[in-house]
Amino acid sequence: MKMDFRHSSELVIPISYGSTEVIETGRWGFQKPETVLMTAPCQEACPAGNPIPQFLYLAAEGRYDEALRALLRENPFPGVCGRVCFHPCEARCHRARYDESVSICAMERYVFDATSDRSVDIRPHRNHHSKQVAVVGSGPAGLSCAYFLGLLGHQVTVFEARTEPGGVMRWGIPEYRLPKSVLKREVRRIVNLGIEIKTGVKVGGDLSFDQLMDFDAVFLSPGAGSSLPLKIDGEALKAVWRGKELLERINSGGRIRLGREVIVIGGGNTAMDVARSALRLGSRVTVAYRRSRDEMPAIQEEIREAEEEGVRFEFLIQPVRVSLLKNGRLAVKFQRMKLGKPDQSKRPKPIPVEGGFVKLEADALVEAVGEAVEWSWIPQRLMSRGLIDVGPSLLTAQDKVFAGGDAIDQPRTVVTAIASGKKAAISIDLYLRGLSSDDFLSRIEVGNQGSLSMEAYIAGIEQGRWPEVKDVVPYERINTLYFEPSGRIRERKLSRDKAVKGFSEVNRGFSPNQAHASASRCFTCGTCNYCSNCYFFCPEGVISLDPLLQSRAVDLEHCKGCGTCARACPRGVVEMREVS
Amino acid sequence: MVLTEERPNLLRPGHAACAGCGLATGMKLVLQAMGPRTIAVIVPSCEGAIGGVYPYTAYGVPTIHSAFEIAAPTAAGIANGLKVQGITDIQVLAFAGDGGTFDIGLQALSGVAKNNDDIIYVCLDNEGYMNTGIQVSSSTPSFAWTGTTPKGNPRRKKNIMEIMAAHYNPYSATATIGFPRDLQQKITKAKGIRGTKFIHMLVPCPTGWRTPSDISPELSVLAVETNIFPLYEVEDGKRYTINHQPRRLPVREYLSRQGRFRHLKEEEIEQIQRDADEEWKKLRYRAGLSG
Ligand SMILES: Cc1cc2nc3c(=O)[nH]c(=O)nc-3n(C[C@H](O)[C@H](O)[C@H](O)COP(=O)(O)OP(=O)(O)OC[C@H]3O[C@@H](n4cnc5c(N)ncnc54)[C@H](O)[C@@H]3O)c2cc1C
Ligand code: SF4
Ligand SMILES: [Mg+2]
Repeated sequence: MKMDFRHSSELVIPISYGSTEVIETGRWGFQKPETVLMTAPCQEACPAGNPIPQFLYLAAEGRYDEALRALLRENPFPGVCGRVCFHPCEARCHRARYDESVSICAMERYVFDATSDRSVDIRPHRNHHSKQVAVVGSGPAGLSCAYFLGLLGHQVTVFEARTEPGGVMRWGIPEYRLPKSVLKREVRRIVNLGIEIKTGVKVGGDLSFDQLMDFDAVFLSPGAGSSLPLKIDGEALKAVWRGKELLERINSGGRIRLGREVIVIGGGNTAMDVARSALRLGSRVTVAYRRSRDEMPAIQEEIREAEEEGVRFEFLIQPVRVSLLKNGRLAVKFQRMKLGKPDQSKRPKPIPVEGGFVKLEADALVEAVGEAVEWSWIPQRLMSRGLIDVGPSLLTAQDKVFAGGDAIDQPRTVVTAIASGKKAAISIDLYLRGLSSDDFLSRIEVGNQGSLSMEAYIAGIEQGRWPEVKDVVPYERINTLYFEPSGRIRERKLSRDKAVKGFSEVNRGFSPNQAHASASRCFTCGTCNYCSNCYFFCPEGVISLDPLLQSRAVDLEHCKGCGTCARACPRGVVEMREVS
Repeated sequence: MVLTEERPNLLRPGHAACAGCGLATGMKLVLQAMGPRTIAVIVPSCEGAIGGVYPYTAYGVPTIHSAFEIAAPTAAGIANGLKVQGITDIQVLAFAGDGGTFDIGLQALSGVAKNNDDIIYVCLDNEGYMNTGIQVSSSTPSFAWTGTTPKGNPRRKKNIMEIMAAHYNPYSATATIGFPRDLQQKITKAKGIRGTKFIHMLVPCPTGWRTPSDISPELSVLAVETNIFPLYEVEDGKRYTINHQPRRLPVREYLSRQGRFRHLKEEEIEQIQRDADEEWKKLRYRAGLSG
């Protein structure tokens, strides 16, 4: 340090050359900031454990390829989920408490639509324990299990009874909700990982259950393939259809004439898909459901869209008999119902109103009242009440045989099927390494509701870097002051008139501008998105951020511990901790 | 954001500001936007205290510590000296507080603005004489507690922006630390304009405002969103542009977080709300917006 005094007769000007950096103002404070990454509530609510804040942050930055890769680390079906998922994540979005929830599902779709798989570079990890695994059924559960096992470096063979893979995604959900081209791209990516899908092989026919035992491990995901009958008179008439079979015919490209008027029985997704498909085949459609609208198990959006398209609903009626009229039409006799006390499904039980009957006429009747597992080929001792019985690791009663999807006791949705496939893949990998899943599954949880992170599993099992348990960000930690209020953006849709003319996809997704605005609405709870608040607001200028290196550093020698950064972090990533 | 060669931090760590000081944040943001080719003028105030004790300095640019009321003419003198020497790539920046601007330096600032000398003048407004122990200034808002207004300030805050606009100087703008991008943009814009540029910058002061050390930026945002401190620019004394559409939160949200307003009566809060509403209306009118 140089000291310099400029002298003149009456003026002395002292000049400071030294930097205050030599003064350790960090000693003034009694608390220091720490970066604490946390789990977002949406992420906890997503059964597949999608890295929601991370992918939305990348999307908001226009880095769609990276957003796709982030999604694919945890979920092999972003294009499918972005279209048909019931998005429990959005119900938990913190933004919903501020203005409206972020369009997470629509963004997942946009990321898929805006990218191609060319930029995706997913390769199997080298695994010294690599083994042979058989998967039965190529629905979302089976294909997810195969995908993740493939990522983990195992040799997987999928046996599929039908001519093409996909399960309900291929043969159930109609084209206007889920174009086949979307599924094709997802399946191709899985096959490119080295997964072998043997179509046209029915286990129990072409291959026996016992033959599966030649593999080192087995995953059973046959879904719930057979439609339940109503067990009423007249059910065998030609104009009476089973929902799932009808959808299969439509999804096979078959030309079907149902007649002028169609009645659909049921209130689930199958019923909605049948009703909307029948509209597109030129019929007038009435859905008859034995409870009321609030109890309908179908996804809310689907019910709304069915209504918008012109499907009529009759609630609180249940068919008791179908008969053929002289003019060739059907007469359907319904019993009027009322709602009683909640039953095992926790919904009010429909009970008959004495003497109350209605008669409706139609050209066709479609029963869509539920599906059951076709398990004639599975040893009885693996089953319990028509479902495959599994423990917490998804292991069945038989050694090395695991199961998931609609065939086990869990909600029947695509994303829960994916989640079970992921969990089974991890359990199988641990089993093949001779490790107990009890010791590991809890270490890779995303939140506290059972979702698992494959990224965390791979980091842990391969490099011994098990992640720290991350708490879920409470709403109170979000500093909403830093967010301008904004409304949720709706996806573009085909007009009603165009929609019902054919099977083109109804939902057209976001425009690029809509997508950017939607992604930018995310608070990115618990994840640093380099918004720079702490960097700008720190009075000491001791914070440096590097989005490329993904680093956030504080010069603690000069941090006075004012707490501004922790408070100003809109997403709760910084926490002040006392120093001793 | 990373500190880069082009955007170095020119207020060095180790400075002596109180923990959570909004003024330090403000100077840091201004100096970063100014860049290294800057000569700064400071006056006896928190700026001097923050700057460090001889022989150390926190300022990363050559800085002259002038007298309290003459930040503007000191800067103007330097600017004119540079001009005479033909040096054109160095900007001169004057930092003064509200005391040195609204009260004691007003005449000197007015003279510089009248000459349209080529400086950027940043008034770091923490609404009182904080460095000397929290006394009232003509920038202290209505009803605020200070050491010299123990029952609350009976007078309204002076409208310094209108006084500056009356000089028809090329550029005046309000800015505050809660909107750092807006603030730095305004500094960058001022650098590109020749003549007297005036930035009125609200900088929350945890010590004088009786607030916790971690909410300065938040108060700054609330001041804007409640219309207590709208963000706008005035060009040539007549062209008004509003830079941020406020959420129009009730002023109570801003006031209730500060110890200096703790004693406020309901009528006083309502009065502050009415004043804010009225000023906002006037501002919109000046910006050519109706209603
Ligand atoms: C019409 C309809 C619409 C739906 N809409 C939605 C929706 O919008 N959103 C949502 O989240 N969920 C929806 N669901 C539910 C969701 O599709 C299922 O929960 C999910 O597909 C279950 O996946 P899975 O892999 O267990 O079984 P599946 O998708 O049923 O796949 C099982 C596969 O196993 C094959 N298989 C069965 N037995 C054998 C065997 N012995 N040998 C070889 N292969 C065999 C089958 O051919 C089939 O391909 C819908 C269901 C239906 C029926
Ligand atoms: S704002 Fe937070 S909770 Fe909501 S979607 Fe984004 S990350 Fe999830
Ligand atoms: Mg002051």
